[in-house]
Amino acid sequence: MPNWPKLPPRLVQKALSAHLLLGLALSALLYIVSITGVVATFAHELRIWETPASPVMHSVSAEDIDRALDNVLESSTPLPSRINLYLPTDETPHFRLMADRAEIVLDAEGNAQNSPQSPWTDFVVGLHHQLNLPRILGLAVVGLVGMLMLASIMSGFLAHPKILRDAFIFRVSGSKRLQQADIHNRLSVWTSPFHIAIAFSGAVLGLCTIVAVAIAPLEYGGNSGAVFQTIFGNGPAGASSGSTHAASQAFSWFRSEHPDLEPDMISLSSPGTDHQTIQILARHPRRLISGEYYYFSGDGTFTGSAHVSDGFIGQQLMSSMYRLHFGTFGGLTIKWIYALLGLFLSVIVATGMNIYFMKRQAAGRSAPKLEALWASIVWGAPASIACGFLLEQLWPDFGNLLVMQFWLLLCMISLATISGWLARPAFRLRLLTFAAISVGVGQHLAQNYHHLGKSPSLMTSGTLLAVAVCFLAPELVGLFGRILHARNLPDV
Amino acid sequence: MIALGLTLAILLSWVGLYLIKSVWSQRGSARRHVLLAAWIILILAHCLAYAIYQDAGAAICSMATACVACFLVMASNRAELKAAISPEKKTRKRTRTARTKADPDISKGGRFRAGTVFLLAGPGAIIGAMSATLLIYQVCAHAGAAPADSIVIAFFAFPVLAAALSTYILMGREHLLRMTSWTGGLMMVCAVLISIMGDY
Repeated sequence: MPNWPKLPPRLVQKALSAHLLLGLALSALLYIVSITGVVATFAHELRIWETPASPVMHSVSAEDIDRALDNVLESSTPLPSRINLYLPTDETPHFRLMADRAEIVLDAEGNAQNSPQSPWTDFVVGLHHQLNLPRILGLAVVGLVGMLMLASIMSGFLAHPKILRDAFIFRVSGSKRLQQADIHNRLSVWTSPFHIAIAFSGAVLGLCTIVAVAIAPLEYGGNSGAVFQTIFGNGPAGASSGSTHAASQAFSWFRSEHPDLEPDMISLSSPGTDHQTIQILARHPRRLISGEYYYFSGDGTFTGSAHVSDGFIGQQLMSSMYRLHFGTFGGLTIKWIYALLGLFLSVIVATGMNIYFMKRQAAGRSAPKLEALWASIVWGAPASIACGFLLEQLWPDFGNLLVMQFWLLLCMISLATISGWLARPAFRLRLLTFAAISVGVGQHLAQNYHHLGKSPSLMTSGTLLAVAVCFLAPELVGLFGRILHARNLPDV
Repeated sequence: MIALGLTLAILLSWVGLYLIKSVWSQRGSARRHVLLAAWIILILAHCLAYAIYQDAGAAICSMATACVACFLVMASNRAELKAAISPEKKTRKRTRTARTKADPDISKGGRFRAGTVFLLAGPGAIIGAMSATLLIYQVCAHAGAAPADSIVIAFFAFPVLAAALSTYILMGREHLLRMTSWTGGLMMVCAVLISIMGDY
């Protein structure tokens, strides 16, 4: 088959050079973002697992809402400026209430408890969203990583004109470099639609704030918030006095008018004052949009919606970006597919760098320290995340130190690997990851044995243990091979 | 007035860029003064744009892009720039030859190490893409697209343009000067068009 597309060799060479450059500059950050992305895909499940004592509720009534709001307003002086009620859904079966920054969780009898925290999941999600940097800066940096990943995909395609001809070639028995190149190229090609979607949606989500800041002076008087309001709505109009019971009235009205929609959140602005407004965020089944905002006046009268679901195409597209990026639109099946494809991305990044080091070695320019640094990132990042997981299970107050622990441990692992102090880093770090996850899960089960009846918690524990075992896969495969080989030996 | 101010600033920038390019082949220490003069003209031009068009993103963007473009153009030939500052050309040439032999990366990829090129090309690509994005936004808004649609088109266009532009610049890294000049040119044209469209 002739090469397609037919590209001049010089252009291919240039594209390869650009691809290499992007890979070198991007690899470490992209690798960390991709492995944390795999974990973040299951954020809902992990949060439930981390908070087994949290009261489970599958639905709420108007009375539950009244009781919850009364509970908060009676104990709050001064009144909070905003109250968000997060209603139980299939993914998160908890009824939570957030008054300004204070969060509580409510049981079926309306009793309020301090909201149990899930610091490890929050840390991993934070690492994926913003690399633990301040919010806007972090989002922009991760958005740039997405943008450069898009550039890397573009240059990768330009650099491989034989992409169709070689689509089914996989040289298992070839040299190690060929094997790595085949893994890198085949996985890249076959998973490229997913990776383009992920890189694009990630870049849009991360960089939209920057673009909004640039657009704002042109037509919005420098107010970047107004740029987002054009897409997601201005919020409810018709502020008026009303009791907080208006929220339950609005909820009841919504339930009767839209029985097919799933309300996710009820939000009260200036509750209990003369400027009270209410909005309900509801999910539309079989739609990719995050949800539609329904507006109510202070007394609970419906006043309109943001038209995210039926407005301009731009509103619908933008609202779909989040669920497209995180795969929260098709249940666990889609999440597993996303996790698997995200894992492939980590493999693509790792093999890409491996090819680079092998090429250098073949050219007589090996860079052992750089190679050791790369190995420490590949295996050190999961090991650091897993150690945080273990420490948080052993000492619940450790949650506040997770960010510091991760970066510090990663630096220490890198230094130990570069200096040669840590021999066989790949094996030892995999072993550390396996041990940390296994002991962490064991500790969690021992602490929460009375909640073991909850099937989601058991399933998550089992999955985590399976993931831990996967880290020892190369050693286990080797062990099996040796056992089989020993059995096949003729008796002497 | 706004358009006039920005156009003036942009024209001055072009003069600055032209001066930098034209003195590239000249020899002698005088080049250093011309380079510095061009640099100052660029900065002043964009300070002027900022002063006239204070609250507009286009002017700020234009100023920032021109500074980065100018920096890229100047830094794109590190060795030449070094020569402009230091008259010891012979020493420089010998050093470069020795370094090229020692590290084929330098000879293969032009004159720079990967990290340097990336650090130079990255900001140029991002700010160039932002200028083009703002232009696209203005075109959409003036063509009668809904405000939400124009904004979302801009949101979507920016990462794609930035990715394409960074790939383009990195692919031509041995001609980084030409690439950055083109990118700088794109930014300037965008800034003028944005300014004019903002007026009418």
